[in-house]
Amino acid sequence: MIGKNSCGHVRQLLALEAGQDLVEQDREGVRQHLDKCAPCRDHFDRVQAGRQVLEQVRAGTTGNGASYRSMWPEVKARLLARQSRAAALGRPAFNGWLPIGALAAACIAILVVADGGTPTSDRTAFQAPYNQSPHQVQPVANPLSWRADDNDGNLMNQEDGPMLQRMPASRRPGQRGNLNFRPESSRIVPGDFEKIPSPD
Amino acid sequence: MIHMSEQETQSAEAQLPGDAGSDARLVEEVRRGDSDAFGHLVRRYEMRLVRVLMRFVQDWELARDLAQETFLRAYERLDQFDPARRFGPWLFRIGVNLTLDFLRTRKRRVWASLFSDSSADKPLDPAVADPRQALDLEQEVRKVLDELPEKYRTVLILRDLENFSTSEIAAIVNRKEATIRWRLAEARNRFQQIWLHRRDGRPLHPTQESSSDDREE
Repeated sequence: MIGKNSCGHVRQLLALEAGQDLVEQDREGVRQHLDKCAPCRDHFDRVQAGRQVLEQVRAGTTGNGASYRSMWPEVKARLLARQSRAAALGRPAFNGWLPIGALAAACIAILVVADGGTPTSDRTAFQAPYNQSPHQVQPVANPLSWRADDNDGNLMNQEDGPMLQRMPASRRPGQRGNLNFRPESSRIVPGDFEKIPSPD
Repeated sequence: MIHMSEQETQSAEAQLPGDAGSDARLVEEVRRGDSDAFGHLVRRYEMRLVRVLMRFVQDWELARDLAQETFLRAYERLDQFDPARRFGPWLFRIGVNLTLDFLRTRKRRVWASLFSDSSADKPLDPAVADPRQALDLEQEVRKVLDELPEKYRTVLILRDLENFSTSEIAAIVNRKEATIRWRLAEARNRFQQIWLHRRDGRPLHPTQESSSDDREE
């Protein structure tokens, strides 16, 4: 382990001191070390020389802005072009999430309407009565903390992410299941869905 | 929305940026639909942004293209920007990340072509070998910088070539300031070591420098 006053530690501080980046509280200790350590003094000289090279490069390339041509006209033209494209497609510009969200909402709507379910529970807007078809898809709040198993003992482990499980063909629609949900949070995470098997 | 303006700023290059108010006020105006406000932001930061990106890519036109793309992305993400924070570091973060991604992609392509193409060296070298000392020095420095790991090279460029403060760099690369200071120290130590090795033939002793991995976040 390198002690605070060891040369290794001091050389890190010296590299900061070379660019005047050392905090005041460390400066005195570094000075005292340099008074006693010639190799560290040599190291400091080398680091300073390296910084001077960088400063030369910086000074040599600052240049002047007299001949610089602003890119704002080009940026504006590209923004207008994107805007026009978005308008032509009939959607707001610069909103990549909107089509994804619309597609997800459409899928949910199709699945819910197809099964004729209507949300009734106040826990989640998507929970349906038990007399749902076997292909009812319902979102699960906070899927990582939910563990449910159906009558067949298939554990719907959500730790790896949301899963969709098909209803066994033997299950008849409208029958009650024996699902044991223990939601740890009622918070709904968009996009997290789980097929709930029909009750037996 | 950007509204088409009949009187575009023809003398944009002559107009000094920074007179249009604070960055936060300009961002708010952009959000309300004032496209000229975004133009003010562009003109305020473009020169420095291009120069910073030039440090990474060594090609003026490429740096300018990357800077343009940076502004476009910043515009698209303006609704995600927290006005309580500073616009400059946020903008430069977009630009630096974009540039680093570009360089990584280009490096992979160079490696891929290495075995099929003998011209795997820097594709952006000037057509004429300029004998001027300044250009030689810059090229030599460039070579040394290229030998540094990306995280050290980035900090060294931003601090010692572009004079960003350590707190600004921390905001740009999204790290704690203590981490930036540590990286800066390591970068300077390595730079001087490699520089002297290339110039004087001094041996490299990478084990002499203390390990920085245990100091990173």
